[in-house]
Parts: sequence; structure tokens; C-alpha cells
Amino acid sequence: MLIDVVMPQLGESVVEGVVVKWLVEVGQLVAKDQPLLEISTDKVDAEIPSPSGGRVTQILVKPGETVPIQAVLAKIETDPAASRPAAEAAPKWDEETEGFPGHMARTSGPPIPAPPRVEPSILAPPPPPTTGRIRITPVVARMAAEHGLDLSKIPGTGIDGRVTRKDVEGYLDSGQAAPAVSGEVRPDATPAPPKVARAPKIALAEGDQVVPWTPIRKKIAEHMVRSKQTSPHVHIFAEVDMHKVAGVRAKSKKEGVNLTYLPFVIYAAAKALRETPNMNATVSGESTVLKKDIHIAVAVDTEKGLLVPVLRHADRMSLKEISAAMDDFGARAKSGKISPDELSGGTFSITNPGIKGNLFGTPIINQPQVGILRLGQIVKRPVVIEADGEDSIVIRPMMYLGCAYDHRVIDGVAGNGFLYRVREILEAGDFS
Amino acid sequence: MTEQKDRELYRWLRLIREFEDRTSVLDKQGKLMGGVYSGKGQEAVTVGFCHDLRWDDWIFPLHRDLGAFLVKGADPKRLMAQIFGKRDGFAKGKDSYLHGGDLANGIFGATSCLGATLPVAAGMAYKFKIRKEDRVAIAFFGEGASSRGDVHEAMNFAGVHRLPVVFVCENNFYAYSTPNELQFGVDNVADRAVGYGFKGEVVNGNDLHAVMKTAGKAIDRARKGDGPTLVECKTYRYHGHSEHDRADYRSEEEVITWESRDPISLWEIYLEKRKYDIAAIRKETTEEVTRIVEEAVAFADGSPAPEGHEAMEDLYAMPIDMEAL
Amino acid sequence: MLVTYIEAIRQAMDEELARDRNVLLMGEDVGVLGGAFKASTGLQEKHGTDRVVDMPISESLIVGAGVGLAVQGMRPILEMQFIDFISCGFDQIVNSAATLRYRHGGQTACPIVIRGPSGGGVHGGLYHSQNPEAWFCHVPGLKVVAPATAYDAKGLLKSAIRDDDPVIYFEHKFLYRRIKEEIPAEEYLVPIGKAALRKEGRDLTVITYGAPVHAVMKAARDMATEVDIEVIDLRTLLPIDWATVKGSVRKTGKVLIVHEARLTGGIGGEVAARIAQDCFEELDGPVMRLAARDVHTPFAPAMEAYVLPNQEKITEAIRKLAAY
Repeated sequence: MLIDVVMPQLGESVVEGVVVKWLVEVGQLVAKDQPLLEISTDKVDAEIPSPSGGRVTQILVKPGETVPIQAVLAKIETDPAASRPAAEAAPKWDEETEGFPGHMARTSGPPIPAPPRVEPSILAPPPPPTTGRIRITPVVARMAAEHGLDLSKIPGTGIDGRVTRKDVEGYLDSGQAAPAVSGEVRPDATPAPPKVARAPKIALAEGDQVVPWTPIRKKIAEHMVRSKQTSPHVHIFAEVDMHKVAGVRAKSKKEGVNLTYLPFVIYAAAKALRETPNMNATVSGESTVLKKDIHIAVAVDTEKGLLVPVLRHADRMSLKEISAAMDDFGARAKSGKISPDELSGGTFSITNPGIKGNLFGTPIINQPQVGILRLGQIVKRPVVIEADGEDSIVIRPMMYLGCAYDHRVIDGVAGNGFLYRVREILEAGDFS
Repeated sequence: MTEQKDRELYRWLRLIREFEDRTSVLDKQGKLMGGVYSGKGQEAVTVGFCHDLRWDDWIFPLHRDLGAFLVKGADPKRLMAQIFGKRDGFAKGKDSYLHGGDLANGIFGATSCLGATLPVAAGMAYKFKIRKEDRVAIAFFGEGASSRGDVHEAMNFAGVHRLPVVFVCENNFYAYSTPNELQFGVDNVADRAVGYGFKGEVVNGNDLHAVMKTAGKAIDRARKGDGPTLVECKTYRYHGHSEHDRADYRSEEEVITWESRDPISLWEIYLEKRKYDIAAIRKETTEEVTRIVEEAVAFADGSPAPEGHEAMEDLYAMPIDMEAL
Repeated sequence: MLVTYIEAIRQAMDEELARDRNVLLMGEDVGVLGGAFKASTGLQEKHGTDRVVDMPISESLIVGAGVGLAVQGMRPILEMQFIDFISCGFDQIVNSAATLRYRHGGQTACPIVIRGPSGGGVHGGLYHSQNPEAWFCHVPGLKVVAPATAYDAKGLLKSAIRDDDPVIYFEHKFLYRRIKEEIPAEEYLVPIGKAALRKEGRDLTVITYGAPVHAVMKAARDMATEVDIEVIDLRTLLPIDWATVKGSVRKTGKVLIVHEARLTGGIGGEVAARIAQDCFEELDGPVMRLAARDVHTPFAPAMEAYVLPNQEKITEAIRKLAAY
């Protein structure tokens, strides 16, 4: 193995050293800790002991040369049998591979140049304030933008005629503000998100732990409260016989492909959504936007909290493609490498609480979408089936599939039809 | 003393020396960051004061007392990881060299304001006293630190309450570059003890027998409730203040003179006089201490480096995220 | 029960000394004399000379010894006879106590409280009027509190004693006997890190702490017909309760910060900067500060009044901001 002999940093402030003399030659065998060379720095002169035993294959710095700390001075082949003296190469400071100077401590680098001293350029005096200029504060600027106000129409009562927040509020209350007329749906026409209700003051007993919310926790909390307050949720459940799905899984396992149940449900949902466009929608103000594309948001539990990456064009994907995409999300969620773009734009959501997901649950809609599916635990149960006109009891892997829909937008026929269709697709077992 | 103890003391002297030497070499090989403050030449002081302590006694080493860490029970592996700035070090990489103490073994980590540990040691000794615990605190400081107000404040308080503390001045004649005559106007730092109402003693810090005898008496006195002692050990550091100090403020002659009084050589002469098989002992000890230090280096090398965000840990009992508030 | 601010402090120490035998009180003249301001009257007699300790005049030792005791699991209360002398123990506070846990990689806690009389308005001159809290708010590892009421003085001191981190507790000597307040007879704590909303209002927020809380409250009452003021008493200066601060700013859009400590480098600068950064679009006026002038607190009454914030200066500043 070839190892480096580097210029040590002998002193916190030292950034470079001079090679005074080499005590060994290229090709020479050296012992561990044997002095290799003498160096001199601003603070100290020292002999540099060899980091390892072996053969000196390269000496990269000539006596008298000054090099930055951590610069490679020589190379030693620790397995002398493998070594051949290499041609001498001049050391070079390479910004690309060694990084820029600035890490003062142990990064190798040339001394940092002193910053230059510059004289301030002479600026022309600012122009005198023009009369009629409207003076406002940051909050007034924001309110004007929000309400589409012409500030010149609002008389200012603040110092120097400044338009204050109160002036704007008074103007809005007086009804003089022209309504923001617009044919298009304005995404910000939705009411401001209600603040999460303040918890009542709780007396703390000794040993109680107060865990402040992380930013992601706060976002989840706000979102959940807002969704429950915005949408009247209707929850419906289907009992799905997963034995054909299990069969497909077993078959693909033999082919070396491990599939979980989730991709099947995503596949079935995407197909059913294509047939039930009302469920693949978002709400904007007082309009429903039926989305052309089917982008399914799938909740993934990560160490940092709940993440919901979006599977774009899920209806165009094969089962294997869905499975691969989900594996990829899972891996990247763990390493925190999911980009914000991948977390937005969903048109429908699926949540899978996993093997400990219990019998069924009532999911909360991911706003501004209008529907969400939730997988329950898959459990083998005795079920009655009818075959050839005869009832019999068989053991089947069964799953309760929960669905929530927004009753502002979806009525019972569409909502129930959708879930029924998902069940049909799963039970039919055709995923080609 | 028994042969077993004689050999054990020798082993400690040699282990410290090997650890110090290896640390110096690692520094020159560019493997260490920050300051390295070799205590090479002063081994008899730390061995003499720490060897016979109980595990529940406390020591307050100064920045050069790597040996005190080892003798008081710090794991050599973790000590090396500490010096490497790794996660397995006592400070988990948060501070360098001996600033991270090993509290489970009664070893307190010093700050860089030398002598600032003396009030801390006095405070701890106050607790031993009011709780009637027969434990002692050993506070090491350099003769340079003796000029600081903290040293006076601590000794004065210890004198008032007759606290179970031993103040150990390691006088190696130079505070960085400043010699004794520019540091204080008395002959010996220990002469000041009388001003605090307790005993001061001067001892040859390179003579392990002398150090152990004086240390034993001082520790006994403290443990029995007879109050503090100030012991001044005259000794010498072979290296500069740190590895990057040329130390050309002192003459070669002076260094050679002190090298001829080397604490390990003196102990070897003693072992020879006792007619032990010194050649065998030396060989066996060399093998043992080399192995221990090599294992420590390998452990430290392999210990994970802390990640950037770990800088925010261990600041408060319950983490406070100022940026998220 | 009706108590003064200083009696509240005495009660807090008394109760904690009785509750936990690891609690000690150490300081100059805290024993027989009961403290220069009588904050520890009767405590030595009740809890013993071992636990209520008259210390030599050695502030660095007092703090340093506290650190040594803390490593042993004790919870010392360390009194600075005047907070002006805390600078003599500065190294032990910022380098020894504040770094203790950190430099030992979390191996130990540092449950010490350093408390003492701060503040001016009492013709104390240069060395008996200081408000040095900002120095310590710059130090990670410390917590800093400054109560304005007897209720908080007691509840915060008890919390500080039970806290596992070093807490610097600034008590305002102007308030010692000027405040009398009904406090609960039963035990209570005031959490560190929570501000108190003293008065709700819609027009502007005044953020303050310590003695000026009372002058600001008076201004809010006196000016009620003119302007509807919200008053926040920070109580804890490190860590500041940003949620309460920002919530109020978002509501009113205008902020005045009042403190008795000097303007430059004071807590107000940090509060203003946070608001400017996090609440910029909610602001309906510049964030303003009223603090002591950038000079030492002089002795002669006219000069002291010129330097420190007072009722008139507060009223004037509120009026100016309200009109903006």
C-alpha cells in the first residue's frame, strides 16, 4: 500500500513549513518512526518520523521549498516487494481536489492572502424624495398584495402620511376596496389556515419531559387540523380477499422479485381513479379541479417524521415499476435525499401503516386532495366462498381497505363506487 | 516496598513515557490536531501522587498530566481517542487533549485558564468534608499558574475550612518561556503555604521515592481531616511548552543536566540495587507498554469522527434548539 | 400571602434548602449577617453553617467551588453580594461552569445558580447599579433569568435551583422592598424559558423584563385611551421565548423593547434582529429600543435619571411608535 508523508501542523497558527533536509533517499528502506526529513516552521524545527515502515518511492518536495500543511512530502510503499521508485513529480496545489483554503485547522492549503483594503466609491447623493410617493410598512405592502389594493386610494394617517396597517384595515372594512374580480381560480382564495389550537396550560410535575415540536411536527399538526376543519370526511371500508395478490407475490418471489402488498394497492387505485375522475381531484377555493394526471402520494414513515413522496403518472406504471419506485423512495427517505419537488403535486393519497397497522383506520385527507386510501393489516381468516353453487369455508388473507372522501365534493355513489372498484381489481388478480 | 509494587511503579513510568513519546510522534506525522503538551520528564510526579489513591478520590490534572489520567484509571484507548478528537474520547470530540476529563474515574477535565481547577477542587473537597466522606482531592498546577488569583482564592478557602485537598505544584522552571525568577519573588512556591495556614513542602519531583513519601503523608493528612498541604515538586519537561515550541529560551546544558536525573533511569538504578533482573523487567515492560499504546492508537484511529451536527449536543441537560424557537 | 420581592427570594431558598439536602447557599456575609440585603435572614440558623456558608471575598472561588460541588451532585446557590462583582468570577462562569457538561461530552450536569442584586435607580453609583445580563446571554451552556415580580422571583429561583444547567439569576434591587404582592401559600414553580404576557393589546407590543416591567405596565394603564398596548415580560433572557415574542409581533405589528441595561450590545438588539428577520412582513413600523444610554450609571441623581429609562421616556417612546 502506498501511503503519504505529510507536512504536519506544528502549532495552531502554522500554515506552512520549509523542507530543510532529506535524511533518506528514493528507493531506501525505512523503519516506522525513522526520521525522514527535517522541516522548519515559524515556530519549530523538527524531524519528521516515518508514519510506517517500507520503501521510499517518491520524494515530492526539494530542500528549501515551502509547502502548506498537510501537503504530501513523500510516498512510502509499505509492501517493499511491490515497490518501484517512481519518477519525481512536482507537488501541486490543486483547488479542485484539495478544496479551497479556509478550513483553518487541518486542511492543507496555501496561506490565506490578507483581504485588500479598498476605498469606498463616492456615490451620488440620493435623489430628494419625490412628492406623492406612498410611504408604507412591510405589513401594508403584504396586505396590499393580498387584497389587490391600490394604495394611492388609501389616505395615510401615520407620520408623514404613512399608510398604516390600521388605515388598510379601515379601508377594507369600509367596503371601498374593489373586489378582486377574476375568472380564474385563485389558489390563495382558500381561507388562511387555522392556527393549531393552543393547548391548555399544564402543570409540570418533576420528571415530566417537555418535547418542543420540530418544524416537521408543526407542519404535520397544522395540516391535520386544517384538513379536519376543511373537509367533512366520510369513511368507508372494503374487505378485500388478497389471495390472488398473494399468489402473484409468491410467483414473482420465485423469479427473484420481492413485492410488498403496497404496489398492488397503488396499481389498483391508479386504475380505479382513471375510471372515477371525481376522486382524482383537488379543491381550489369554491371549485373542484379534476386532474388530468394521476399522481399518487404515498405516506412513508422516516426517522424525521412522516414524508409523502409522490408517484407521478402512477396509472402508466407497471407493477414492477411501482415497486421499484417505492423502494427507491424508501431508501432515499432514510438518507434524507428526497427533493422537495418530489413531495408536491399529488392528486390522491395512499397510506400504509405497515404490518402493525391493525384492523382498519380512518385516514385524514391530504389537502387539497379529496380522497385517501388506507391499508389495514392482512390477516388470514376463514371466509365463506361460493363455488359451483356450493358454499364452503376457506382460509384467505383478508385486508380491510379504508377510504376517506371529501363530502363537499364527492357523493356516496362516486366514493363507494371507487372503493368497490379498487377491491374488484385486487381480487381479480390481473396486474399485467 | 514489595517487588511487585516496585515493578508496577516502573510499568506506570514506562507506560506514560511510551504514551507521551507516541503522542509526539503522531503529532509530527500530522495525525493529531491542536496542541500536544508533553509531560515527558515529569512522570514521577503523577505516578507518585496518583498510584496510591482510591478510586473514589478525585484528581484535577493540569494540561501536561497525561500520566495522571492513566494512573488514576483512564482507559488508554479512550484517552488516545480523546487526543485524536474522536467520538470515543471523553469529550466526544468537543475539546482537545486533556480538556475532557474521565469523571467516572474521578479525573476532572481542566480548562485552558491554568489554575482554574483549584477552586473547583476546593469546592469538591468542601463537599467531602461536610458529608464526612474520607475522600481527597488532588489539584495539580504549574508554577506559572501559581501567579493566578484563582490559586490564592482556592488555597485561602482550603485553609479556612481545613479541607481534604492536596495542592501539587509541578515546578518545571518554565511557564512556557518565563523562568521562575520572573514568575515569583519567593524562593519556592511552597513557601507561600504558611500564608494560608497549612504546611508547604518541597520535594525532588524526579525522585519517585521522595514524591511517594511526601504524597503519602499529605494524602493521609487530608484523609484524616487534618487539612490541606501544598507540595512543590521540582521537575523538568524535556520538550517545549508544546510540540511546536523550540524551547530555545533554555540552554542545551540545562536540558542535558536534567536528562541525567531522568525519573525512569533513577528508578531503574533502584531496581538494579534491589538485585532484580533488570534486563528481563525492562524487556517485558517494553513489550507490554508498546502493545498497550499500539492498541490505543489503533482504537483511536478506528473510532468514528464526530459529525458536524453533534456540535449541538451535550450543551444543556435538555436540548434547546435556539434556531427552531 | 403578602410578600416583598426579597422575601420571595428568601422563601425560595429556605424551601429548597429544606426540600433537598444537596442545596447549599454560599456567598459573602450570607450566614450570620443574612446577606448584605438580608435575602438570607435566618437561613444559616435554620440550615446550619455547613450549608449556608460565609465565603471569603473571592468571587472566582465561589463560582469555581460551586462547579466542584456540582460535579458531586450538590446544588449550590452562589450569591454575588452585588452583581457588579460577578466580573471577578467571569472566567469560572464562562470557561468553567458553562463548558463543564460540553467539554466532558455530557458526562456531568452543572446545577448551580449564581444570583445577586442588579440594577440602578437607587443612587448606587458605578459599582452598585450594573445590569450585566447581556454578557452572559452570549454564552452557550448558561441560562439567564430576570424576574420582575415577587411571584416570579420565588417560582423562577426554585426552578433555577432544580435546573441541571448553570443559571444566572438577576434580581433587581430596586424592587426588593418596593414590591409587595400576594403569592400562593402552597408550593409553585415558574418554568425557565417562558415569557409572561402581562397585558393583552392590539396596537403595539412592549417587550421588557426586570424593573422596567412596572413602568411599562403603568404606561399601558395611563395611556389606555390613547393606545392599546400589549406587554410581554421576558422573564428568561436565555433562552428567550421566541414563540410568545413572535406571536405578539404578528398580532400588533409594532414593537418597542425596553431594558435598563445599556443599549449597545444589549438584549434588545438580539430581540430586534430576530423580529426583523422572522416577522418582517408583519411589521407596521420600525422595531424600536429604549435602554440606558451608552455610559456607566452615574451617581448624582440628575445624571442617573438622564441615563436610565424612566416613566416619561417610556411614554414618549410608545407615543412615537404608535404614531408611526
